[in-house]
Amino acid sequence: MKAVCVCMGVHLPYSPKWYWPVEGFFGVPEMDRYFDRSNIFSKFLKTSRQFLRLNDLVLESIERGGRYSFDLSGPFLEQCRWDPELIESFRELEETGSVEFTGSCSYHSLSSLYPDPSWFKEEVILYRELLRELLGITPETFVNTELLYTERVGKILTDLGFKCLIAEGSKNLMNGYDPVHVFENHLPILLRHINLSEDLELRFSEKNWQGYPLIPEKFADWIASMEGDILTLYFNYANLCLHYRNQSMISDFIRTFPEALKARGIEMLTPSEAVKKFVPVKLLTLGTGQTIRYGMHNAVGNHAQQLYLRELVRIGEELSTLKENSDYQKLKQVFGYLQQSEIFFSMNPGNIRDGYERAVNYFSILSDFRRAVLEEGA
Amino acid sequence: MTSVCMYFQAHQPFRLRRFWPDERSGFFRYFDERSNKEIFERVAQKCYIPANKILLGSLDDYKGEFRFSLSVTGTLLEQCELWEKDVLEDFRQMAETGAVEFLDETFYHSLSSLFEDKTEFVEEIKEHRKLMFDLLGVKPQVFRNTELLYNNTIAKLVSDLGYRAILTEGADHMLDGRSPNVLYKAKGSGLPIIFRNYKLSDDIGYRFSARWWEGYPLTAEKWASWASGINEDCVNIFMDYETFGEHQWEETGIFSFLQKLPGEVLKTRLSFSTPIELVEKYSPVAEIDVGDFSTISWADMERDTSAWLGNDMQRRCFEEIKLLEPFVRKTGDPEILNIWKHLLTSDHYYYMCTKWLGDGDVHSYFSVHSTPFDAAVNFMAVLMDFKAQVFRKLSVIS
Repeated sequence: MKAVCVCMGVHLPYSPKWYWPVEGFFGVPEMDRYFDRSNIFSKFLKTSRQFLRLNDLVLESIERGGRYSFDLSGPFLEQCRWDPELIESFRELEETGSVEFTGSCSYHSLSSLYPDPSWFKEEVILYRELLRELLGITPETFVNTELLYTERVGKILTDLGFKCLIAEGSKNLMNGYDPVHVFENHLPILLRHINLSEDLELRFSEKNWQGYPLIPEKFADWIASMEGDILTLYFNYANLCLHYRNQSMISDFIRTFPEALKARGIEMLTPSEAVKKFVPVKLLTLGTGQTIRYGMHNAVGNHAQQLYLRELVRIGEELSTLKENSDYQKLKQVFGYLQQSEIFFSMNPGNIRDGYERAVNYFSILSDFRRAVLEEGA
Repeated sequence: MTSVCMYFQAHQPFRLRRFWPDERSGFFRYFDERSNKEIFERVAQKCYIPANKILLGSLDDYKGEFRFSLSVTGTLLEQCELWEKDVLEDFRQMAETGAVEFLDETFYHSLSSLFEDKTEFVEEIKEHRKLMFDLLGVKPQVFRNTELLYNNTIAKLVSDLGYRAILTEGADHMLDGRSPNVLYKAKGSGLPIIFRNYKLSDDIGYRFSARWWEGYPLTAEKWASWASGINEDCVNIFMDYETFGEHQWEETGIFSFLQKLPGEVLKTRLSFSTPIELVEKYSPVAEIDVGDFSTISWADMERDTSAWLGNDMQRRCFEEIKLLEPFVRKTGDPEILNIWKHLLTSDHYYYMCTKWLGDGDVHSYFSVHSTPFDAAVNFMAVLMDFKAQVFRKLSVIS
């Protein structure tokens, strides 16, 4: 392997609350009608302290030659406004010149699946503005919500000027091979290596895993033994906190991983650097396949999810006719958070009981929201 | 002399279809025309038609000595009109004998009696009353609420509407050792209450084909001898009409049981009476107090409202449908109002029940959903779409 690209997804959802229509079917909803912001805030506070410590570790790793990319989600960035210190810490990472921040959907939504592509485009642009405002940068690489990829996403992103896309390297695309090249369809695409990413994300602190303890040298050996141009690792940043709390050796790993790679002649590259450096390889399945982390069937596969998706699309159409109304922005913001991918995934947790109980709650929320939109249109 | 008071409940709901917001409009946008028709026709063939035939035969054979009462929901009568007029004709013939007392209930077999505001409840009773007169030419004088849901407030309303008695479950926790075999009166209104003898009722309705049961096999003679052991005023046997041929299949011998029952009962010291005749013959012995928060019913082991409002999904769906009422009325659209009323049918909520053990199998009976969770999501999906229809209509009006 010639190079490794490490991208870390930082995301904290804005989870809907257990809603009960106490207000009756009345009024223009504020965020607080559907979201328990004090609960979201206290979760954020806890996590943001851990992110600060992790960022420091990443800084150390960069001093030892590391290069990284970050996919900060829109809902996370909005929450960062509550803690300027955390934003400052990401700025510091940016100033090292060794970190690339990627573009994303501002509401961490599945809007790229809607029939009307303008919702997706709008979110991409909105997020770009957010990143410019908070970190002063314009992203060139794009990571769609949960690494979602469909053919049209590539097309739209190319039109919007993106130079690279990171997507899930799922079986249906890779057909049993490891994704170890830069691929291309409309624009250069890096595909996540699921197994090796999950070694870090999930298995790192598992004492009965055969790879335990995963020290940088061992991991770098595995990578060095593979043939190819570039290996893309993508994992949730929050999971590193989990390993951190488990007193595992994650700190050492983060600090010394760059050196272990370097010792084996493997470069660390940011996504933009990777797609410039290597010649893209054609992958036919990119023209037809769809993919997302955890699989499309877990995102939009069951009746409740299909209904929710369909309802979002219809509400979106209705909302679009209200652009002149005074409450439009307020409704638009609430609508944004009602599209978060967590809502979809949590309706299908592998256990129909929990998923559908939540779905009933979400339907209550969504139907009240649609009521407000229809009343606004009167 | 002790009276045997038999009452059969005949009901079919309009079940929802597996909802998807497509181009369909009107009533069948939400309700499943095909599967409701199929189920109705199956039940008609297996139960209503053969049971009607046997009962009409017995009415003829025993000339006034065999008497019973029947309550038919509005939704079932609607289905008879749509799909099988012969069943309706049977009911008409029963009414003509004068030996069958028809009861009133809510048109939609609904949960409207549980609303704080009883406007809808009263309206549905009046709708049912009108239907009974229009279709069968009868004017019921006794009331039974959906699934025998009962409390003081319901009794008071029913009494104010002119009914002379009400039927409910002889729930142990409420009778508290007192006998169900006499009449009582409701606290507040003084309305006579007829309690179901659940033991002797369930011997037929529930245990008839149970091989584990020491009473198996149950013959009409055996049952009549048990019933004649009661020396009080009345033995009140209430059950689903679908017991005959549907809950208990024909192969169990249920029809021959039904055929022989009148003769075997009349051989003993017992005689048949209908609810209104009980009220005329006997006097209530004591007052019964059932507060609004202790509502009883004949459902499940709990005999309360938990079969419909026991879990969060059910309560949420019920709350949503309740909150929608003023908006539905404001549209002034008869089709919207009709759909809303059919969404109050108790069966929709029953399908969402998660009290799996014991009662779960009864809950899944006749359900078109694979699990209570599917049922709840599907109901909310319908509601979400219907609610949008209501508010769209209102936004056009304003």
